[in-house]
Amino acid sequence: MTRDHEAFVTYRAGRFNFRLFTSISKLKETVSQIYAPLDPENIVDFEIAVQPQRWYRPQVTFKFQQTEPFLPLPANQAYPLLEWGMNWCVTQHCHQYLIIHAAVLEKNNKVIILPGSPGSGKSTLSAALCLLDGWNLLSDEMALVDTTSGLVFPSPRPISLKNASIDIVSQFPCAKQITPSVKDTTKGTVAHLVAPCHRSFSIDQGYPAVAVVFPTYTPTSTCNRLNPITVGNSFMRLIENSFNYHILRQVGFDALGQLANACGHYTYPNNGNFSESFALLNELIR
Amino acid sequence: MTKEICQFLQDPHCTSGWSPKRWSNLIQQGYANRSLAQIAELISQYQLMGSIPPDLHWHINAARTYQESHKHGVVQEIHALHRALGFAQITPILLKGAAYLAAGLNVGKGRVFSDIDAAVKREQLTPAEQSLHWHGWSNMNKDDYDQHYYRVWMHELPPFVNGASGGVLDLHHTIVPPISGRAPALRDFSTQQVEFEGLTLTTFTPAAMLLHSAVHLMFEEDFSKGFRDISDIHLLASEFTELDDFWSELIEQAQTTGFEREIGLALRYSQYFFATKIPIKYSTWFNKHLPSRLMLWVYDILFTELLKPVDCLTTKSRIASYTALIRGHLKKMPLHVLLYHTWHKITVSRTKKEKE
Repeated sequence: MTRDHEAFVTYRAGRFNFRLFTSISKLKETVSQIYAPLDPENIVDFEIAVQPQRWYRPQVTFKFQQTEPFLPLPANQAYPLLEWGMNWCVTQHCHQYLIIHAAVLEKNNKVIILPGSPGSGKSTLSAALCLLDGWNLLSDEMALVDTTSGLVFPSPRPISLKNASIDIVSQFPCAKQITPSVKDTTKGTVAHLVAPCHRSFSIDQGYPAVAVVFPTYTPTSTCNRLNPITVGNSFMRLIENSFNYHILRQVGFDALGQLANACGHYTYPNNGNFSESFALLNELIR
Repeated sequence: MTKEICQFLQDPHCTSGWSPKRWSNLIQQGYANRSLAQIAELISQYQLMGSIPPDLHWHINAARTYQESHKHGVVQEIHALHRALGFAQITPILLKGAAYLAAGLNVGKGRVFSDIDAAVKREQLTPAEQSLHWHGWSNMNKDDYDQHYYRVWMHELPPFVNGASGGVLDLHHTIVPPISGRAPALRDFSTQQVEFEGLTLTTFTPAAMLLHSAVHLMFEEDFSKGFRDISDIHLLASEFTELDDFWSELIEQAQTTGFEREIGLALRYSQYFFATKIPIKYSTWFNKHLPSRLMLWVYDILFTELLKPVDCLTTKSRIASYTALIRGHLKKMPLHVLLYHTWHKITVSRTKKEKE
């Protein structure tokens, strides 16, 4: 007989296989709705645990093996904690890629990279592009740039929506799979949206990036316009947004150089008018 | 079934015919025990990459990438330390991780560690400290009590931080706290010179190095990295056993410094986990210096728990961890000092909390 805390589920999330140990049945249920289950005999990339602690004001903890990178959170935040934990696993260990904090979208076999700090509107824009304009989501959180080819590899997982953007996105006609909102997290209210996959695109294939667009949500802006910036400027901002540039060193510099030289670079202050965004971004992948 | 990580470190060739699942287990255990870079190093030495399922290759390559970046940082720190102490005409003896790396040992090629450890003679401490300050190191913010604790009782100064790189340096003058009454003079440990990255550096000789590692482990009070520490002992012993006179020198070093029991215990647990090979005529000597049978029974229960490999589900026995915490402290300082130290830590942390 398996003890409660030894109960696990094995699944594929993006490019990586996870084995999650958890005694929280609701979390296991959410995970099996969102991710493809794997045979328990399958190889895994990360063995993680999300376990409850304390009966008084119960909390959950995230662990990768013996490492606990985050402070415990209130019990109702188990699913967001799992998502953040899985991001942490990838960004801390997958040095076969230069990893940039960015949303990555693909259309016509071409990729645009949307780096951005929280609040820049990149998740909302990504959700709109996927749900309303036929783009494929390669990732909502990180661009995985192959260090030899400079190509960007897909690792699609749900889009993390925050606060007002949850209401906006849930009104989209094809937003079918959104996890229930979790209030009062460090990022405010969060919910996760499973993005649809439009054409069969291969997770084993890398895609060339054609543009790097730094969005900023500026409600007061009157017209939406892509402002070209220099490669050098963009290069420095990409380094700031990268998780492991300092670990890859020369290799990271070369990979980023290869990627940046092949791209157009823009800032994109926008007021959330999606149809204008679609028109502008589609120009980039023509 | 014995854990994959113990089998692998005992003999990497044992992996022939392993299923993908077992390789996957090995890698996860490598993460859990902070040994993945070490495993990666052995995989490349024994040319085993071909037997590993391709989907797992990235773990090995990424661990090496991380290790190289770590090494790059350590090399810079060693250069800086060499420059700073060279200014005062002091040659430090590199210890532990930095020494393993500088001496080109297998155990050093895949080890990721947070601090640089170095030792100077006691009478060199003041000029060494001054020179470090002039060259951009500062003492980490410690209050008067901590200063007293380190400078009077301990075998090292309060940690130094390199202002330019953020690297942490522990500067020792012997290997265990003088207050324990067991601290040998640094000169009792034999040293050697090694060439590393264009520098001539000083480390302990193989025998002194293994002895230091064993003493460190047996004086430890925090065993969160217990498995990594015992696997260091195994890897060092396995590499040094090839050297002429290694074992007799080890015994001589243990006798000169009075650490016969510590080396005996460390080798005992290395054999327990990895079946470390020790020539029979020497292993009798080590066994002769183990504690009495009853004590040994207690030690075995304690250390096989504290040093075992961990995984995602492991929580080490709390009784064992608390026992180790008290035992480690008691080895480092006599009871009355420990009680004073504990009382101070408790009252100070309370007043600090009240202030906040």
